[in-house]
Amino acid sequence: MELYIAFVALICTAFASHYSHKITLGYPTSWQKPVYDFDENPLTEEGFILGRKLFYDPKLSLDSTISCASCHLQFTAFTHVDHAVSHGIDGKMGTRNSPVLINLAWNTHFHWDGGVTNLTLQAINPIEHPLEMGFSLKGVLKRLRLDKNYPQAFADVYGDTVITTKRLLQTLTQYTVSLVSANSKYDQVKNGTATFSVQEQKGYDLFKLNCVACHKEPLFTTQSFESNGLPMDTIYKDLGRYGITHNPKDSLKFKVPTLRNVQFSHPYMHDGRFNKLSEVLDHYVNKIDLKSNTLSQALKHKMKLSSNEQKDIIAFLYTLTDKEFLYNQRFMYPRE
Amino acid sequence: MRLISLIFLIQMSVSFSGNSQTDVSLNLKFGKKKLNLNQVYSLNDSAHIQLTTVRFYMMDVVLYSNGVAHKMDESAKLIDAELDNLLVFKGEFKTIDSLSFLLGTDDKTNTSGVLEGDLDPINGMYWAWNSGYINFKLEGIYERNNQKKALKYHLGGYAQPFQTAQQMVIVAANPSKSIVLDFKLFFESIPYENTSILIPGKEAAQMMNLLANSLNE
Repeated sequence: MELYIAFVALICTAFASHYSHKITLGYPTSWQKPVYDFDENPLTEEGFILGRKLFYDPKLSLDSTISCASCHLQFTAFTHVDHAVSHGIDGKMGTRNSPVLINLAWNTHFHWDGGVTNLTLQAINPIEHPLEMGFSLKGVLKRLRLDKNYPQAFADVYGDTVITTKRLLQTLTQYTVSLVSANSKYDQVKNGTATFSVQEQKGYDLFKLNCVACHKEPLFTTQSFESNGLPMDTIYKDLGRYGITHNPKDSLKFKVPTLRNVQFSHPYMHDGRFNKLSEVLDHYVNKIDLKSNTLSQALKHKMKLSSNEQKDIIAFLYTLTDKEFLYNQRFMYPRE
Repeated sequence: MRLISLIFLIQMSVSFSGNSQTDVSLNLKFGKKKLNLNQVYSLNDSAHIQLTTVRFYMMDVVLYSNGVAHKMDESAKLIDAELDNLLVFKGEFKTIDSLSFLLGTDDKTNTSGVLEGDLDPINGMYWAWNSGYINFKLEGIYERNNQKKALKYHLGGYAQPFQTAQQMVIVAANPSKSIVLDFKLFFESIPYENTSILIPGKEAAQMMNLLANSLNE
């Protein structure tokens, strides 16, 4: 069995400082090292616990109604099930499907357009976005400083009760960067503790032929920006990566999402236009706009998959479900 | 990062006290007048400008005196007309050869993690949707022919090919005046139609270049 560093690898005897306990991020040894800079934000048990408390706390929104978890539910791969686009305070609707929060330590860009390039800084966006939490960093800090519990929680991490932007964002990130999914059936097959069914194996073989160019193992994404042949949505007229680079070659390109836990992360695509994986497969097989100027190179040749073969691929995609991750008590709302 | 090197013969504000204290400050002006926020200034008979926000970053400030380089303590300074914190350099120098600085923030600053002090994202100079700092924030009202338009320039962007930071080298031609940032000169060089720039890109880069050119005598 492949070595798997225990997620809660508490090094109880080695302290990050005199007031907090260092922990390490667990992941399969066959994976590449994370890109997240843990030297800049060393993981500690106390930091993780505080980050989790913040993640589930609606105090981070203007009217104290929306938490990070509102749009990123653990049981649905940390995305907003059944919502094409998420709603923020006052029922305001966003413009994009909330992305899953999985294996973020390996991500170099965040959001569908990749506009955010640092995980620690990412949380500013939902906190301050008028359609999401609609608040301000200043407002959050003021509220936390006046709270009866947070100053002590920050002291548990940093040794004093000072609450700053940096400490707020770093502790939040200690939680989100820890959301590692690496124990699906696929992973168990890879480490020799499980075997695919005949249909799953067929699906895996087809997946490697047709999908892996963008959804590369083991993270199931190349993190590149691609146009997958979807016509522009009619509501938001979202041009994706072009909005960041202003390069016409990036028109209608969006970040390739991971497929881990894709069984539960519906609806799919940047605007949540597909509710079922069968609709996604149908798009790739039958509905790609091959004349699109920015279409991904990997999709230039029409994908030929029978109806049964599409089902085989879906059967394989279900093996990317990691129930240990989806029901991990450590990631859940802290019932104190 | 590609740095646009501009050399200006600019006069510096150098105030000498009895103990040779030499303070180099910025002087924000509208033509010959001191710039005050919320005051209406005439660009010409039919055009008027009222600025409500003037905030920008300077970093890596180095003052050269008798061939010796002296660095500013802070890596970056947020200039804010509201706070009137226009002091650029404080020290004791008999002569000043030149002053170099970056108008804006550099690549590293834009790609580092959470920074503190003047670079704390809480200061409202950080873009959450497109990682990076707003190097220059200018807001107000632009009125022409009795038509008022909101003026909003949030100028930033560090990635190729639309970097906005401007490397400045100011040679002390006359050590008796100020480093003047003349907004009349700036507004005379931009089209009235373009009163809103809120994203990185070609226009933001052009505007920052024009602001750099407005550092003048």
